[in-house]
Amino acid sequence: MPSLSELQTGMVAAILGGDDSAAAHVRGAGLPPARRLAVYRNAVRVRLKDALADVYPVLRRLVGDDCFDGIANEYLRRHPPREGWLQSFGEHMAALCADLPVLSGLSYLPDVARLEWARQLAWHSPAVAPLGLEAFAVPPTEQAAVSLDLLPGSTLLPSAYPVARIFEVNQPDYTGDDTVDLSHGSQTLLVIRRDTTVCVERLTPAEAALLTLLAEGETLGQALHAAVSAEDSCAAGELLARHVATGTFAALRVMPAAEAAAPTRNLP
Amino acid sequence: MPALAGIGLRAPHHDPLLVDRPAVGFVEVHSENYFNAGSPPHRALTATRAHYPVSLHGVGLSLGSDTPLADHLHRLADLVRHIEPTLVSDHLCWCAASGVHLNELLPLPYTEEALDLVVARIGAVQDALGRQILVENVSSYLEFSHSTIAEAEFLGAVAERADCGILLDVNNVYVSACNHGWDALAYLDALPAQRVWQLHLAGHQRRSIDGATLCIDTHDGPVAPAVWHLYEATLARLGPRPTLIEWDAELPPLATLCDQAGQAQRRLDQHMGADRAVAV
Repeated sequence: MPSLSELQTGMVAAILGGDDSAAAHVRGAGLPPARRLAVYRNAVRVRLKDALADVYPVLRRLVGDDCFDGIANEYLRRHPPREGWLQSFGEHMAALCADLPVLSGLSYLPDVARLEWARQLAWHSPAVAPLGLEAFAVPPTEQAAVSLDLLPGSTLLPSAYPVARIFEVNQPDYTGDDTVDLSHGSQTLLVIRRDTTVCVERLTPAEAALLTLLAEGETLGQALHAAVSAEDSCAAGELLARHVATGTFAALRVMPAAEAAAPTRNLP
Repeated sequence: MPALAGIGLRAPHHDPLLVDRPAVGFVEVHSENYFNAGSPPHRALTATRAHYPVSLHGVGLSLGSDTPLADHLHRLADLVRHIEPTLVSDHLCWCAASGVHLNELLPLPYTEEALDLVVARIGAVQDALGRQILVENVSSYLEFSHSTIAEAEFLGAVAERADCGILLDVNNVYVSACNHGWDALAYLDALPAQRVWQLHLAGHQRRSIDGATLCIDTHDGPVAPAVWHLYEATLARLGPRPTLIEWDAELPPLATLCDQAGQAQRRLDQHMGADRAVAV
């Protein structure tokens, strides 16, 4: 008689790995033990594949149902769920797509997966009241040492491919021209939840530089400098004001003087 | 909690429920779908709680395995504090082992070892939550040859020793009885009636596999006539209990779900005496 833990280890091997030695402990009345185990194996696979398909509908549409099924099988083999809630299941899909030889000719797929995972993160993140303009009432001497946090669950997604366009034309209700020129549209995207809507926003090079440095914890002074470096003629102050107005930021922090780098530019 | 009929609430019905406000006794959700505080689903449940009693029904505690519990329990405790549910429940099953969480309700071998483990695990959960929970019988498609205790006796012993409630899923009794040749009425008779604090009803399907017929607990349709009959037998034996209609797949319009709850409520009303509401 196996111990409970031995039996459960065997059952996991049967369900995920196809090792049916646990069948020795299953009653066979009317249906062979291996077939009974298969009921659970199929149920687990269907549930987890459905969970991946819910998170990655565009990836699934791009590769087709059969190929997605194969990807999902490989995903389960490499990254079975570790937690009893499925919101965190699927985070390794981009890395898997980059690693599977069968997908090597589709080098934009990992970024599509990153975009879909970023949408999942944004949806399940806590609601935080966006920072208003009044929060910017900081003494001038401290302005260069200010840092801004993006809303929780936001992702900045740089890509060499027009991922937002790929995402857009692969929505079920899209009816327009669905051609995508993969050589055009290298861009950084901001994936962010505004109230209850997950938004995918295309950023200009200056916006991308501004928000990327802020997301990395750099000071506002450095981030504005990076924005101007990215686009000579950009009005960095207006970009910042626009993102404050649309509610991109969650918190403003005044960093201690020792942590803040030397001011490189005044605030707008 | 009064012996009213409620409905399982899934995300597509959040908005219709708050707009239509159908007269159902309570709603029940899968706790794990609301583990992200402040997310849109969590906010929708908070809004629902303002109008309905909410029961939190877990599918992931894995009460039947000795796997890490702290993170899951911490999230559940946060949700319980926030929602102030009328009932908290999970399943008599295991879901996790070898560092993997299968997110499936797997049957236990009914042995003394498993009984000790489940009782201790429920104790830990009840201590952490500061309240009693209910444990539900699962539908199953296999039995282990080294089981030494019948499921109903095992469930009753768990409830008595852990001092918790039983959530008796009548459809699961029917499904498992079909699959294993059990006597469903004998199952009901073997339960400690005073420990049964809630009932579940759901739809199932029959599938043919290698010439054998298996009953599968699909939650994708109305309650079957045979399960309504078993429900009536349950009420006759145990008295009225809060009853939930579960319908998770092929989700119908909210009104269809409420109609099923209405059918349960009519049967409850027939068994309702002046003092027979169950206090939990």
